[in-house]
Amino acid sequence: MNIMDNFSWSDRTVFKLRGLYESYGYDQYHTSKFEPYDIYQENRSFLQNKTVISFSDPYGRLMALRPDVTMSIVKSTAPETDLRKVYYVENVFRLDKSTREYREIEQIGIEAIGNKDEYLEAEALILALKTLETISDKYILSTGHMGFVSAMLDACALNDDDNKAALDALRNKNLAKLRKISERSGLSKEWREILEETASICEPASIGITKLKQLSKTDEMDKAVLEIERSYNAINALGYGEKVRLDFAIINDMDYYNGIVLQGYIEGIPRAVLSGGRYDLLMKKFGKPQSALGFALYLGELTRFFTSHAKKGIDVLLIRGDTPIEVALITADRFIKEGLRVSVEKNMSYATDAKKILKIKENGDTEEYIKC
Amino acid sequence: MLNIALPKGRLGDAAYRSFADIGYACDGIEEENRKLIFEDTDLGVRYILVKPADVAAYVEHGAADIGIVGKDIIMETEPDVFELFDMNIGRCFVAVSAKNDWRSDINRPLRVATKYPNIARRYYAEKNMQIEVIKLNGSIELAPIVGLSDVIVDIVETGKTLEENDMRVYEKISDSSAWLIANKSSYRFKKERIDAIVRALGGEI
Repeated sequence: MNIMDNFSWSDRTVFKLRGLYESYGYDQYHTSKFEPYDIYQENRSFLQNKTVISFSDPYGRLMALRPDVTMSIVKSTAPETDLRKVYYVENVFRLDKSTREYREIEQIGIEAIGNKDEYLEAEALILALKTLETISDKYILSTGHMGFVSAMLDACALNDDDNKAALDALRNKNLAKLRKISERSGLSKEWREILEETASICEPASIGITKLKQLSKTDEMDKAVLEIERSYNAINALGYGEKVRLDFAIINDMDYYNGIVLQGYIEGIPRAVLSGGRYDLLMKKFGKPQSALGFALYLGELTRFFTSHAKKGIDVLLIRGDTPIEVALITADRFIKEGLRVSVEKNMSYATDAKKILKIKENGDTEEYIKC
Repeated sequence: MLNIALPKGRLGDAAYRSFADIGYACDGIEEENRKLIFEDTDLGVRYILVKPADVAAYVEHGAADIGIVGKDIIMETEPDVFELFDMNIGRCFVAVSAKNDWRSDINRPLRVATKYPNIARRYYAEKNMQIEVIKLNGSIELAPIVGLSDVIVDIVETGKTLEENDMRVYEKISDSSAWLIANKSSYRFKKERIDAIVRALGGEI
């Protein structure tokens, strides 16, 4: 029996994913749960959830319970670093929007920071796919491109309010709202159709790219389409093409994200379980010259849906009675070495779920326990 | 199986008939009874009848794949769902109403009674006005009459209830009607089926 079998589903998943990221040359990154509050204050909109738990340290500095790991990795990256590939398994602290309660959320993710390199992007996408594959074979990786979206909106030259409304409409696939925005901004029929067609794209990437090419009207948009196509071709070559969708409802904050953006879905789980993208603009805000991308998997989201992997019972319950404790320890050790899950108790407990109950004899042998 | 959340009541009845018209009829749903779940395994469809204000929550959390919900509820709860199609039924609007003889008093915060605290807060924040929200669950029109609030923020269909209580609409906030929404994960796995429903109902996608 494999010792891994004794671990919970989420522990095993974490081990598998760590192994995956390690094998691609990513190093583990550890960080403190406490961070100075100001970095979050200045970049609040990078956080999907704006509430940060804050408190004062003994020197009166305002500190935060880390709501996000990416920012601390970015902050700790030296501007002269050529390539930094890290993964993390950390808890983050956020406010749950619907229940208005604080939550501690376990995240596992990667960040690849360095000179802009097509290889790194394709590799990160492959890792996202393999991450989802570790959880279930019924998964989809939805990808969009903030460069395409912002080039499209630039060309539409909407005012600030309409720009924001258009992003919301894309995010919620609200075509009627997009049409309203187009009408009140006096957009040409051509651009109105480009906006609406883009919003309804949600197809296997191979089909989506063909559609997108027809919608691309500016150099910036063309550039984005090329980036998408290049990464997609690489993914397809590895046999993951079918799992990738092109989907322009994947919208991350335009102040931080500028390239490919992604969300992972597992059938039966109502929310995205993985999310990330290219965030060169966040790097820039922190004064770092490198380009960067990454993603995180929300383990907390998943654990609730894998309750069938609940804790296993005890294989052997050893009743030690009055046998000396060293004898009991040695006996227990013998069973543990056989790969069994063992519990030692002085007297029989009647609430046990143990598969087998044995009594330890004076000499360390065991005999069947007979209930009195 | 496609799970559809419908609001109990008139809006839900109208929405169900739209679904029945495009071939998604389900036995027993229109009879008077207290059942909350109706299923047709041949069609692969299950209707769940819930309180109108809860439809969005059922869809957002994946208990239903799609649902029919008033735009007023979407504006109030801002659920993370796809807003696929305006069904164009249950038309009404969200408005600020008050007694016919109401005069605004700028020396103190406006007291607003409403089922929609978030809509009210957002609306007045944009106007830079201080308000005190009093959250009520029904019979909102009563609040100004008994002096509980200065104004109400509520949906208006015909305006008849207001009229009968010596009240009228002062400011219109937004139009509302029933929308077809979809869970963001379900949509990605059941896209063909959901798109076909939207098209059959007359939407573009």
